[in-house]
This record gives sequence, C-alpha cells and structure tokens, in this order.
Amino acid sequence: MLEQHSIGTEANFLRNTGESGQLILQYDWDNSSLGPLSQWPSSLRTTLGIVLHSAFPMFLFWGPDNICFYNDAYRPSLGLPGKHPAIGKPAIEVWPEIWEMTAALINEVYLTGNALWFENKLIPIERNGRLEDVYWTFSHSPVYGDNGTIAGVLVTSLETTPTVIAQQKIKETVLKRTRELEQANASISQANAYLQDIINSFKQPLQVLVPVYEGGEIVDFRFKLTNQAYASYANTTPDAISGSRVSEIFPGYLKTTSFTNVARTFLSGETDTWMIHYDQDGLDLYNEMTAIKMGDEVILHFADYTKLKYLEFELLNKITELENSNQNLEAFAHAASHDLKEPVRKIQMFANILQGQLGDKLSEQNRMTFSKIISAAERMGKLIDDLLQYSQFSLLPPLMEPVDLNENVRQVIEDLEVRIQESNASLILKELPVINGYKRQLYQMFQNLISNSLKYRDPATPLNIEISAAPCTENGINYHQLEVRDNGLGFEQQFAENIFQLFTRLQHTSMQAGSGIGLSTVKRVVDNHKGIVRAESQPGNGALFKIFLPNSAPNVEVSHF
Amino acid sequence: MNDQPIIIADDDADDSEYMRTALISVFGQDKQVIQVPNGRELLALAKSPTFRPELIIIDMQMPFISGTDILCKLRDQQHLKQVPLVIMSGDKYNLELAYRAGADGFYSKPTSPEGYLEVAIDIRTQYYR
Repeated sequence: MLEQHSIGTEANFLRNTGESGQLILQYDWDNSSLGPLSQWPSSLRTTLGIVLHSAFPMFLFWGPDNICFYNDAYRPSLGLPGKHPAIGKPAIEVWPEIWEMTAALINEVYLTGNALWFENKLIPIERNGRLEDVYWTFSHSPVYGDNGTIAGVLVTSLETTPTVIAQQKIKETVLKRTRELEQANASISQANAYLQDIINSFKQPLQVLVPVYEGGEIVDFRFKLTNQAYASYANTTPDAISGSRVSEIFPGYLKTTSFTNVARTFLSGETDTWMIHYDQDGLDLYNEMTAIKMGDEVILHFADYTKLKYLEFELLNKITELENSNQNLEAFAHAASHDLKEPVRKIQMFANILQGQLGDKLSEQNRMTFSKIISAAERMGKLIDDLLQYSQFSLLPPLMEPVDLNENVRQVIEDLEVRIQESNASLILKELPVINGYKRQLYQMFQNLISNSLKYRDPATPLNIEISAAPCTENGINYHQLEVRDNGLGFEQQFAENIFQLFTRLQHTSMQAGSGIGLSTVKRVVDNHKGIVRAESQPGNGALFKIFLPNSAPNVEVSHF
Repeated sequence: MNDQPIIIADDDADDSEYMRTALISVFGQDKQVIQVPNGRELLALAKSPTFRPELIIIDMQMPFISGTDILCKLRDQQHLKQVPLVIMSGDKYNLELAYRAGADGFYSKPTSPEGYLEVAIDIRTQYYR
C-alpha cells in the first residue's frame, strides 16, 4: 500500500494507483535513463496519471529505451509471477521473445504518428515459466512529450485469450457438428441410393404414393418413391418424377382404377389386388396391380402381363384362323369327296352293266378281273362314304334333342344286320340312358364303334360285343359313361390316342384295313357333345371304348337307371 | 292310282335313264315318266296349276338350284302339297339334310341296274298302297 504521507506533491499523480504506483515510488530511478521521479517531464506524469488510474489494462513505453510502465489492470497479463515486476525496465529486457515485432510496432507509431489497432491478435509470450499462446486486442498510440515530439507509445490492451479460445472451441464444435451432420447426411443419401438401387433392380414397377387432398377429398397422389421400371413408362427416371403429382405424368390415370382403387385402399387400409387394362395416355397395358397401405402412404406395385396378353390375343386369332382353316378344309374335303363319289359310282355301275352285257362270253379269268374292278371301286366308294360322313358335320348345323340311345343302337344293329350275321357276332345290349344330343351323330358314333369291332374281330374266336352305360363323375362334372367292349384283336395300349386320328390304321396282317376314318368320326361326335372318348386294349384281349357324355339333365338319367 | 306322270329331275342323263327304265319295268310300259335335266325346268313345269304328277324324284345336286331349294319351292305350291317328293343323292349322308328340307323319301344312288330296280320297287311299296 502506498503511504499517503510518504508522497510528495511531485508524486501526487501516483495517489491511489495500487501496487503499480508503489513499485514506481520504490524504484531506483536515479540510476535509470529517466532520472529521479521529481525531474520527470509533466507529459510523462500526466500520461502515467491516466494509465495508473485507469481500470482498463494499459501499458506505456517511454523514452528512447522504451522504459516500461503498466497499471494494476495490466498486471495479470504478465503472468504469475511471470515478467512482473517489469516497471522501469527497458522493453527489450522484458519482451526479448517478441521484441522484433514489438519494436516494429513502436517504431511505426513514432514514424507515422498514427494509432495502430489489432483485434484478437496472437502474440505468444513467455509467462508462468513457458511460452504461452496469448491473444490480444490492443491499440498502440503516440504520446507526445513536453517538447512536442513523440516521447512514448501508449498501449491499451485487453487479453482476449479466453474469448478467443472460447470462440475457437465454438468454431471447432460447430465444425465438428457440421462434419457429423454432413456424414449423417451422406449416410442417409447412401442409404437412399442403396434403397433406390435395390428397388431399381426389380423389373416389377413400384411406387410409393402420398395422397393429395383438396376440400377434404383425395384428388390425386404424389410420388414419394418409384423405381426405374415404373419411371420407364414415362421415359424418365425416379429422381425426375419424385415429388410430382401422378396426374402430371399420367393425366389419364384419374379415370382408371389405378387412381380410384388406390384411394380406396388408402381410406380403408385394406390391401387390394386387381386387373387393369390401362388404355390412357397413349398406353395399352394389361397389369395386375396391388395396393398396400403403409402409414400415410400407399405402396403400389404391378405385374405387367401386356406381352402375355398380346400373345393370348395372337393365340386366339391363330385358333380362330385354324378353326376357319379347318372348316375350309372340311368343306373342301366334303366337296372333293362328293365330286369323287360320282365317278366311282359310275365305274361300279358300268362295270356291273358291262359284266351283265358280256354274260356267258366271259371266261372264268375275265370274271375274276371284273370282280376285282368292282370290289376295288366298292372299296373306294366306302372310303369316300366315310370321308363324307366325317366332313358332313361342318355343313349341317345339328339340332340338340332328347335321344333314346337304346333305340339309337337298335337302329344301328338293324342296319348292320347282314354284317353282324356274316361275322357270326353276338351283341349284348344293356339298358342305355336317354341323353340330350345329336341323334344322327350318335347313330353314326355307335355305327362306327360296332363296325370297328366287326372289322377287327379275331377269326379264331366268336365275336362278342357288349354295350353298357353307367353314371359317373369326373372333375366335378356328371357324365354318362358308355362302354363298347369286344373280344376282338385289340391293339397296343400305346396307340390308344392315335387311333382317333384321321387315316390312322393299326397293322392287322390277316385283316383288310379300314378307311382310318371311322374312329375319327367317333371322336368328332364325342367332341361335338363336349364329351371324352378313351380306348383301352391289349393285343388279343379285345378293345374297350369308354365314352363320357355330359349329363346335363340328371332327371332323365334317374328315370332310366 | 291315277295315270298322272312320275317326274325325274336329274342332270345326269345316265342316272335319269336307269331310273326311268327301272320305273317302267316296275309300273309297266304305259307308265308316263317325264325327265327334266335341272331344277329350273322342273319349277317351270310346276308353275302350271294343271301340273299334278304322282311323284317327283329329285337329284340332290343339280346345276342352278340345289335339290333342297327345289323342295322348298315346290312345297310352297298349294296344288303340289299332296305330291310325294323323293330325293336321290350319291352321298348317303345327305339323308338328314333332305328330310329336314321336307323330303318324303330319300334314296342313295345305286351302283347297278338292279339297285335302280330296288329303288323303283320301294317307291311303289311306299307311295302306291
């Protein structure tokens, strides 16, 4: 503490100036370049008075040696104990580590007379036994001596190290957080890209939609996420349409179930799958769509089976073409066989007449030759007859009517009586149903089946033919199962399918071959009745033909069984 | 039995002739048999209200008008309502078509003179009782 009484009037400016004032008082100024305190110039006293009384940290370099003065407010900046006490020492002794810079600043003030100003400037100084990074906000300003020239430099300075460090810390934290955010952002982008890559790999178009409301109603949807398969329908990319309204890309969709059903799923929460033929916006697509509600969004995906649908159309066209072509072929076959029939009949006719005319003039050999001509012509006539029978169905629209098969078969047996007798065959006829069918065709079916049995009988065994019927159910459909069974030659089971094809003849060495049309006619009759025909056989064990005719009127059947 | 003619409408002269021969041998030399070579001539004949044949035999396939079309046109003529109309065809499967068109009888064309004789005999049995 500075003692009031020890201060003379010449040292009044040191009153109440704390430790710094006392140090000035106690300093041995006599051996310094400034000389005793009582001889100091008034400019120095005045300046020091201001410096020492200020609560703001201040420092003064005075005179050619830059003698150091500072106030109590400045004291902490010198460290503990640090450079303190430095009062009275030439600056070069106090700040040797930064003297070069300090001297430069002081010199500039001397030279220019202008004040210098620095903010948060890093000036590392030696204090507390080490070199510290210290930040300063300071000004160097000239102080004029008694003779009107610059005699010192006043430094008002504030150490801002804590502020700067705090700012740096904030800056670093901000930087760190920014980096973390950027990383998180990058991760999210990466995850999004990853998800987009995955959904782009799906060939099935996918959309995630959010509803657009107007007046409380869903009027549209917005794309939240789509995959490339979907975006490709609009020749664009998922990125380009993200956030757009669906109607901006496909205006026509609002008229289709691809809007209405999706809105319904959003409102009801119920997953929906449906078929759609999308014929808007210049597109012609056949899709199976599925809408699933997920939170406040709807996932919509679809399977595009347009190609399949076109193939189906193509197939249907081909089938129609084939049917037409088949009908044309049948009509042609019918016309051709009809035209062939007449000349053959004429050959038979005139061969018979010529034979009659020649009468006794013919030798035995001549007669043999004649009979060969006539029998060849007959065979050809029968062949043509079979073709006419097979092909007539395409010409004549048949009428469905109740047909009593018992009567039907009896008629066949009557008409084939001669051949049955010649074959020495016995027929067993079980009770048959009355069915709704084509009478004439059913007649021809039985005629061909019985003829087939007669034709392929075993010469060594008396022929038995049994015709029976029973109701049956197959694949949930009720059928009349008709059976024609014989004990003739039979055939290999492997040919069971082939025998119904046109012109198929199985080899029977001892027998005269048939036309290969008869069983095809059977198949056509069964087909016309929407039925099924199957053949079962083993060589030597006879043949069994099973015919399944749909039983559309069960009442009729009940009355018969 | 009256003395009205039997009409044969057939474009095939051989068939027509064999049919006529068979009819003559069954019905006797005095039987009047008129032959026409196609449906147009038959319909021209039929227009006359005095045209009252006993029976008409019509070939199914003839030029200009088919046998079944002729049947329909003849059936429309009031004065021919009672006249039996018989169809002949080389295709025996035309039977159903013929009956549906309103034929009273159907014969498959024979392959020998004896066959024609059988047809003539059957015609007498069926329509001259």
